[in-house]
Amino acid sequence: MKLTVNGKAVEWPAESGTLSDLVQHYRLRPNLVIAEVDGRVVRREEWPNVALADGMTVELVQFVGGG
Amino acid sequence: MVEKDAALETLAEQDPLVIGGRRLSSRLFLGTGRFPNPLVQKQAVAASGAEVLTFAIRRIDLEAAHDDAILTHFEGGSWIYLLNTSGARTADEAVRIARLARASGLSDWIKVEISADSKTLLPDPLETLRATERLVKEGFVVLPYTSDDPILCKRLEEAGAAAVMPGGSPIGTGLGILNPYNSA
Repeated sequence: MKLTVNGKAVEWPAESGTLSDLVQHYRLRPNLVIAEVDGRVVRREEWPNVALADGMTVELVQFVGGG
Repeated sequence: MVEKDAALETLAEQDPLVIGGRRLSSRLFLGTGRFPNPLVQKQAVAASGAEVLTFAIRRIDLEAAHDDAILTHFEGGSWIYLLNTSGARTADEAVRIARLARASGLSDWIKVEISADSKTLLPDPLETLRATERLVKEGFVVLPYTSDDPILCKRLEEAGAAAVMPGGSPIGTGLGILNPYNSA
């Protein structure tokens, strides 16, 4: 299935998966990542229940240095 | 230096700064950008005694995700994280960033920072007021960064801002307080 992750087209290599799988795929530490799916913020505890779907837009963001 | 530290401690006890119900031991808020490396940053944060650290939120570069996430250097600490909404040009964008920040589970303190001009980074006061009103209703502890107009600051306070952060001079200029009579 085709996803858009952080603005880039991504071909998800499996037939199914969850938001947790996606975060794991990129080898990110879940406790440092914030996720938004199709414009909606998804809390970490919901990630395992959010099934990836064709056409889905995902934003993965994190804290960075700032003032 | 020791005398100065003691004087500051006495001040903190006698006239504490309380924001969003939190009694702060230091009046210094420290930004976390532009340090040369994490070690220097940690040393600077420790030396400052600051209890509130500001951060921004950005997309993760998934092709360089091995890069250090800044929070790995602050694990186990008891700082208050103040997330800014830098990059926002409108109240809508600031609210979106604030909701993302809160989803971190680490903080609901938001420094509303809205600029419609990427060169000067001067705050947009009307969008800042709109964002403050909305975020207060959503239960955030809102600290808007804004221009140094006293009446505007009063309006932000009335809108429920936990504290107002008027800019002394444009970001990055290092010019200090340009308009001391507005800040008196």
